Amino acid sequence: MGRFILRRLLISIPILLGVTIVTFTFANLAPGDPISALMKPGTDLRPEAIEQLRLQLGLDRPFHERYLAWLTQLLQGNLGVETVGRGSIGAALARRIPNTVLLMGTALSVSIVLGVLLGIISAFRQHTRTDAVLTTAVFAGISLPPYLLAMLAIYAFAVLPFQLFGIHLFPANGIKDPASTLPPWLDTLWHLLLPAAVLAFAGTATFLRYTRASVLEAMRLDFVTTARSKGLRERTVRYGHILRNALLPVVTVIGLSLPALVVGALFVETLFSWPGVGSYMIEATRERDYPVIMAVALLTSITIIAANLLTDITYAFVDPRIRHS
Amino acid sequence: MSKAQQPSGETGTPLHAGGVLDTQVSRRTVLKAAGIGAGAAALAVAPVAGASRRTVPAAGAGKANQAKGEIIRLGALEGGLTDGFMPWKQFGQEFVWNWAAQMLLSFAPDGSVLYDLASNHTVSEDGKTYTFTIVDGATWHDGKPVTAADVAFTYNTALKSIAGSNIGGRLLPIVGAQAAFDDTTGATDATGIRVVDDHTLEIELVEPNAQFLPVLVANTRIAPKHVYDGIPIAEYPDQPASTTMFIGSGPYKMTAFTPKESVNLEPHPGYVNGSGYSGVPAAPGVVIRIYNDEEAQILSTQSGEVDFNYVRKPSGDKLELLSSIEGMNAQKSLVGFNIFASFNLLDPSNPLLKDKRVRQALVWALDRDVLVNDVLGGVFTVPSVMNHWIQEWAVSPDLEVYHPQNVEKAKALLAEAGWTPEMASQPLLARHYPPTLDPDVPIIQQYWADIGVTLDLQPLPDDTFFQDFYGDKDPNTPEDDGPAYDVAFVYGFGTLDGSPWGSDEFLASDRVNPAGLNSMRFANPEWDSAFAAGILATTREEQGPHFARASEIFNDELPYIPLYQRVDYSIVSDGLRGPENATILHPAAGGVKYWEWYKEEA
Repeated sequence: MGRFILRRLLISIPILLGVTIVTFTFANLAPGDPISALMKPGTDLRPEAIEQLRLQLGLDRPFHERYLAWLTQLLQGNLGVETVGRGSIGAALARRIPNTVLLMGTALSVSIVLGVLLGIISAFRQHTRTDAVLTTAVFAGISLPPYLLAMLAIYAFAVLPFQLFGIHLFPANGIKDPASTLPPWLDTLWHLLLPAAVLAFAGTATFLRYTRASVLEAMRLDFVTTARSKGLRERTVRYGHILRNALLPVVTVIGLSLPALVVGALFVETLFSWPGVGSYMIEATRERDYPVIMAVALLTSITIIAANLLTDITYAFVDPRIRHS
Repeated sequence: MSKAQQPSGETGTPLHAGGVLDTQVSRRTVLKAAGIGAGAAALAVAPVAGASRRTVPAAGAGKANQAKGEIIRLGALEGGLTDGFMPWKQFGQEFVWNWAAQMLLSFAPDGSVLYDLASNHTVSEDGKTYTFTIVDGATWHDGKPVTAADVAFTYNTALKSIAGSNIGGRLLPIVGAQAAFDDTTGATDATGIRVVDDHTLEIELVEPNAQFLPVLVANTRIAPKHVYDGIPIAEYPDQPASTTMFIGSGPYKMTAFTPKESVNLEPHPGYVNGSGYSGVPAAPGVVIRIYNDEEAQILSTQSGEVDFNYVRKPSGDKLELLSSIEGMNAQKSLVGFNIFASFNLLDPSNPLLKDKRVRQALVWALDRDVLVNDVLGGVFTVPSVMNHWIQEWAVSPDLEVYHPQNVEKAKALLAEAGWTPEMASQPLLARHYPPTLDPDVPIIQQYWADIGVTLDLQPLPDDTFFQDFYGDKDPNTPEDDGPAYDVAFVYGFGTLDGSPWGSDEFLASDRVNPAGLNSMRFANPEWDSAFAAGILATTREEQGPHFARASEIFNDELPYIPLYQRVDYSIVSDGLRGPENATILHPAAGGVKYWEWYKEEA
């Protein structure tokens, strides 16, 4: 196991390098640069000021020089500063990652618990009304774009209650009310509920679908027939045999979802003005802020690699066949 | 000139016309009564919601100024809130500066002076030397006194790009400023900026310049010198005062800043201004919510989370949404900026474009009412003045308005200029910005095709916009070949407040890139003389006739056509109170007494 982990870690290094090169290349190939993001017609930026800005930002240097400069800084533990706001990217990420983990962690936890439970129920009650209702909900959850779902939720639970009754049922966006006198944790919890519910709706649908399919497949395997013919109680067959095998693929799906804990949901965070990593990336893309784009891309890659590794290790522990092989 | 709403100027009067409010209250009361059953679940969270807005405790004894009402909640779309707090940087934090910073003075829309950090100013007889008196008792938010040295420091720093400044051009009329501007080490100060004593600052200009006050003084907030003392000038942009916790002298002081999320401000008890106000400002505090997305801004406003939101040129649909929000009212802010069509006057593909009759014909051919009302959803307005600036005192009363549409006149003018039907087969190169085509441009294309002028529409890409629009279409040759278009549809000429100040940047013959932003290569010596005479004059009575003559020249020559005037909207809570004319609420507008604003308790 130790050698396996070491080998995976060593392979990660060229993968990460490749990701940064590709990201940097595409970011620079995209139209515009931070100067053009600042430039709007009629603004009083004199040509000499623009040129000075271009020099200050290092945009006059060749592509490879800029990449190597960024890489050198990274190896020294410095993610650099934002091109537009000049804030430390590391500090910004340190502030935003917990916000994303809070949102995505809540959504993911609810999704996993609900999705797996409902998936099991749906599979064990296949072809019943319960199964039909749950399957329909799955289609809705998967089909509706998260951005649209978010807008509907804000409208239904924030806008309409205020417009019709003058009450603030749920906040429309943000992670806190800067004018609030509530305990901070309560204020944050109140702001968390709606975006987490939106993400959990889509996430639950995904886990429900995978769990249902996996359980149904396991139910058809020979060992289940053998177990029943041995006279085992149905409860033991279901929970002791079927589920133990059916949940293995679900572990993989959960593992693949883990990067979202750190990277976030880009559009939902933006619409809810949730100050997480996802909205940070959207802003950076809009402003052509290359150092931020690179930092978030790197963070995403590291998270995916780590999540995959964790999934493989977990799988090995959960499935004795893999462990003994 | 189109007039926006003109609310009463009395203190405490709502910032909107009455009548509609009563209807809205009745409707809400009925709906509330009907929704009691559904509101049972809401009651569970209502205590949470109700507790979230802080109110002022019962008035204490012995205070000359007393805050009243609730905290004012503002919303701001992120643009302009990402560039730090340095007053010498163009794209700074207007929304924070309005509450936390002071300028020496500003100008109200009617041209009257609102003294802020200065209590007085005088101008020498020759119009070259300005003397400012810093108001007594002004203090920074950290308690240190404000002195003339702070103003001198701010203006000198504004000349230095190494400090992060990009507004150095505004100070070039000052004696010695060019040397400071050219010294890239930042070691040189302008000799014309002189501290006489703690409360007196003298600024000497190279020659009289009426733009000095409106373009520089009324646009530059003052920074505390002591905060930057001892710090290398190249490190100014990285200081906390520049990035995270602005220290100003304005009515409210920053107490918390979460980048891209929110700003909290509390009353500054030591606030003093040159208009005679001293003591705590009216509201118990101000919070600013920052949005990263226009949809988020709209939804937050609809949910009643803010008392004020500023929306730039909203689409028709968005305006309809904003206008129907309960408890809020949408107020027009008539901003000077124009949407325009500009012309290559140097080297167009068809030389007849240089004939003013052709350009005049192109305006007469347009039905701009249809473009504004039907195509653009009524969120712009047809300007009543066909000029770069719009303020009445500075324009001739006899200007042609080129409105309403007159196709026959357009055709006659074209024929006079020698335009032939065959020229329709040689389309003019028409570039548009933004690259995504705005809905009015194809309609304009059709109007012009109807009179025999055809266009080849091509976008101005973001990454080459500046070079294509302002620069030389062939930078490899020493001579100026003109811009890379025959006609360009671009947003944003004109002056923000409709005054003439700063217009030479765009129209003077010696202000072609890189010296300025005269994209069209408009070169009219009489316009140059008239405008220069205007800024040399010292009173509005003397300036007016010169600017009026310049407006006549522009109106006749039409180097660009101001197609429509941008209309922004301020979405204001019914409970927000302020004494001044709230129809010009652009964040950078002057003459707004933010210290007197407050919000009535719900």
